[in-house]
Amino acid sequence: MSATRLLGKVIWYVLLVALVVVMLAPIVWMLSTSFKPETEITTIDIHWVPRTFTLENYERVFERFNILRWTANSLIVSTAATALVLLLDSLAGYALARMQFAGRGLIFGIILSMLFVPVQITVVPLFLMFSEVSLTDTYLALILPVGANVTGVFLMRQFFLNIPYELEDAARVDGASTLRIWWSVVLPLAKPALTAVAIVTFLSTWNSFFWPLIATRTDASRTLPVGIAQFMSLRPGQAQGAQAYGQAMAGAVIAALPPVIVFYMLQRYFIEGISMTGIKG
Amino acid sequence: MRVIPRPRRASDAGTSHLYSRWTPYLFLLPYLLVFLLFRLGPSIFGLAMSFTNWSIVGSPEWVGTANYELMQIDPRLEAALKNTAFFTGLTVPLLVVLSLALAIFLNQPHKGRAIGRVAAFTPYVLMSTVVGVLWTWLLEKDFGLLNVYLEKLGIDGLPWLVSQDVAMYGIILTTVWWTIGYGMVLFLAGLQDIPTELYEAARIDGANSLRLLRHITLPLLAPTTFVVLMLTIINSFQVFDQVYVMTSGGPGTSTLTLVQYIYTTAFQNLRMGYGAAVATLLFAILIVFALVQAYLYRRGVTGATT
Amino acid sequence: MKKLGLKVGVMLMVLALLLPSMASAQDGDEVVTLEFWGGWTAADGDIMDELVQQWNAENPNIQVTLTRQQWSPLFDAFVVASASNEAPDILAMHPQELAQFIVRDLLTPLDDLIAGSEILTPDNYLESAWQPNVYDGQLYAIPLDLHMHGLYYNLDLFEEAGIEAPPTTGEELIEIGKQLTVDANGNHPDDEGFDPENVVQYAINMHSNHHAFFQWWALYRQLGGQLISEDGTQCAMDIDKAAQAWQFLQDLVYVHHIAPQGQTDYLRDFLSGRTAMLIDGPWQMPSLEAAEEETGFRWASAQYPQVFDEAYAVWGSGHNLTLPANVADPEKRDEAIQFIEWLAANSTQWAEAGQLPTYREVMESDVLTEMYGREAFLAMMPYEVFLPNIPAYNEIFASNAPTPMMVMAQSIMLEQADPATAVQTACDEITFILQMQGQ
Repeated sequence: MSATRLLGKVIWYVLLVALVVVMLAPIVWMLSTSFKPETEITTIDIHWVPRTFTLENYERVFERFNILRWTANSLIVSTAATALVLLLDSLAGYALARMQFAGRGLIFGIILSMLFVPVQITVVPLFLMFSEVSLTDTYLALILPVGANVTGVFLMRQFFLNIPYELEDAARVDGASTLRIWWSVVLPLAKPALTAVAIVTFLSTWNSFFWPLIATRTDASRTLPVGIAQFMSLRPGQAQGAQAYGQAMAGAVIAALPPVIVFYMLQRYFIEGISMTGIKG
Repeated sequence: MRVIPRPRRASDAGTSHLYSRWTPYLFLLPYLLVFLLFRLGPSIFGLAMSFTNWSIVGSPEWVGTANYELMQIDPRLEAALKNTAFFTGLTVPLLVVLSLALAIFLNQPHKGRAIGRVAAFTPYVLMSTVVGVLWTWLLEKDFGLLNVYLEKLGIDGLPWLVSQDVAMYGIILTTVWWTIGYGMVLFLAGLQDIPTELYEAARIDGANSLRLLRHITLPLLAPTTFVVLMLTIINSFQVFDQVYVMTSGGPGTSTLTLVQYIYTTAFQNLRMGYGAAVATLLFAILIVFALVQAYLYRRGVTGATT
Repeated sequence: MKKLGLKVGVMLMVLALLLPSMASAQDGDEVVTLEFWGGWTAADGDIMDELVQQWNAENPNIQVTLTRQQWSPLFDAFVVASASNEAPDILAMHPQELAQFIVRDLLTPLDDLIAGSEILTPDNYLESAWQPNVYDGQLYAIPLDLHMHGLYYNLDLFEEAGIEAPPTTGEELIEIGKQLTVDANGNHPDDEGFDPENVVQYAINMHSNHHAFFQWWALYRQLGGQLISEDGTQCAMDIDKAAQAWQFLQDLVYVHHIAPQGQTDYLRDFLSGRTAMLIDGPWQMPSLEAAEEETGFRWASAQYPQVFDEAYAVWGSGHNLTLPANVADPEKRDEAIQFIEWLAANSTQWAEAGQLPTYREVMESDVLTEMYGREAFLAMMPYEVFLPNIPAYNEIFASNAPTPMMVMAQSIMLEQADPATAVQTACDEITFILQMQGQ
């Protein structure tokens, strides 16, 4: 290996270490804080490793709050919403990408434009609607609005625009109906894209706060972000109450684990997926 | 199996006879139903409230364009617009350029790049409130980690979140850390699609890394860049969560953003009508942006192929 | 794998459709369930939790579910729920937040409901606690507790500096403050060579958030100042007095150098000795007690100083309990009142969180008065001044948005703006807001 290449490699690794440190340092801090007792947290000195390692924050969180229920709710809601989105968006994306019909451009434009309306505007009408049919504080209320998300349609359409026509042509020659083609020919190819949409949808549903705050009122359907906000501290001096940071960080770690696991399990598909959507087209 | 998609042929336009005229609508129906009920309907209703003085409870009363007239003399709205524009103007180039650089960096065939990718994406997984609390600590003026380590390097710390002049930079720094992973992943995907043969051929011709970047990588990443740019602009214009947690628009009005203003007006001050008017303004601004971008992109694409 | 994923997805969707009917337990005819919402997210919330559980154990026929959430999102959810008669049965808040909900008919007047009660009567409460809950001649909330600013001080640092007692006036504050402020070279503010950039110990904290304007409010009222005109249509601030009150606070930082600039973590700084004194509320006492146990930190509490002579005043607020109007079942109001009565009578435990219950029997009990550190706060109760209870409260005083008060406070304390100008700006903005409300 030439000297320049070796130097290049060394520099690359130095930069890598710097990157990892910068990106993960705050998260390590969060982890470390969750294992410190409160009196050690409210100090000026910086200790990356807890002087007194304790599990009391996690114990308190599990004892006092229904965190297992919230996690279960979040898992159910996020998974079901993701499944719904995959189904709806792969159907809709296929039509928008592959079929000619009146109003195609307009429909897609309108769908896309909904990205420009912040959630604060839709929350109240949505709530009134669900309240009218007595479906507030249910899983349905949390799952159905996710089905209307836009990014999934956008990405699936991109993917379908770029898959080769030959396979569909061949299936048509065999006399297959469009639905059959969609199901047996196109969807299998779409696995990476579907996984990509799955990750994005799962993540955004998991971390969603405002709508679940408004739509749920009991632990029966309360999701994790709304639940841990019950003891999530505000910045120092903000509240008229002593804040327990250790507990808050323990809750934050617990809430971060499932999406991290989901992402890590699927991340190699993720990259393949986006690439097949042919973002370049 | 890597199949290169074949270009559309004129005969494709006539393929519609292969499926019934109802098929497209049937495929769209499930999504459109949900979309209409839970996205379009509420959005139209919500934006239409801008012509009323609704306060969430009670019945809305029609006030015509009164809210829009009020917007023109509202100093807070002016501040929100300026701050949001400033935030977007700085964050978008930073995010796009840095995430592109990260993607290229983490696409190099070195062992350990997976660790880098994972480290860069992990922040994105955190909830906004967690990010806000963490970075409020990090950016504390006197003993926050950032200033402490800056001082160790001999650089003076900044009054990050307690000074009108600097607070927005603190927010931008937090935002870049938090969301850079998303753009990085999109760019990484775009990079996978560039055939390695192109690079090999160019190297044989004697091109160095910089030329490869300029003449192969960047041009072929143009569509990805377009998508990342568009999504980043839309998200930046609607920034809210981390600002609300970290500074709530302060000090003074230096970090007040449009969506925070909408939220405060609609939910805290119970003036949903006025909040909807500001949201409609935001909507209009983003529509203009999207149209301009699409136009430029189309021109850029046709320009590049000639 | 895809097939399995699809199967799982479909199963979950079916589950999700069925679960609503499974998840919400149907109440039997016997048991009345009450929804109680409160914004306590710290240790005090845990104590309220315990109190509710105690009630539930003693009252199997009336079960209360406590929902905790931070105040601001809590009220968001409350208002939206009220829009379709899904409001909670009992909602906690603060007295100055009442008006905005009252004028939109979201709260129930209580006079008739408590007519027969022996516990919930004005005589059983401190007047300064009861009165702020009366609006337009009607009672809308029952007081639960009061809290206000007090002065905590570090006994070790005081002894070291040879100071016997905490300051009770403005002059004492500055004088004692200078003795307690030391730079890296051991110099005090009036000494030669004092370096304001390198202070290792400050005398006192100085808020950079809404508590700064809470302190100003106290000082302004100590000068006898008024804020809103009688008819509620404009700002009635005496600009000179307002500026004078601000000047005192600003000078502590920029002239006397006895308080840090841009400080944000007040408790931490106090516990670590960076500030010898701390202006904060009674809610901080559990943390101080815990620190005392763990590290032997010695502290005491005193009253907020009287800086100006017109009157003694200290900023304060309190928690109160309301009965929302737009509930699903208005018949439960009597049970709700029962719960509130019980809460009032059993609020001694609430005091452990540092809160100061206002039900006389508890307030005057030995248990409370003998709790370490509470005495100073209890003594200040009659002198608490609340911010005005007006419909435009959030627009003018909210601490999580750039309201006129926040902008004024931060520009004066963080940017060293000229108080008179900042006050004038705030006053104009307040008038504008009040006049818009009228429309």
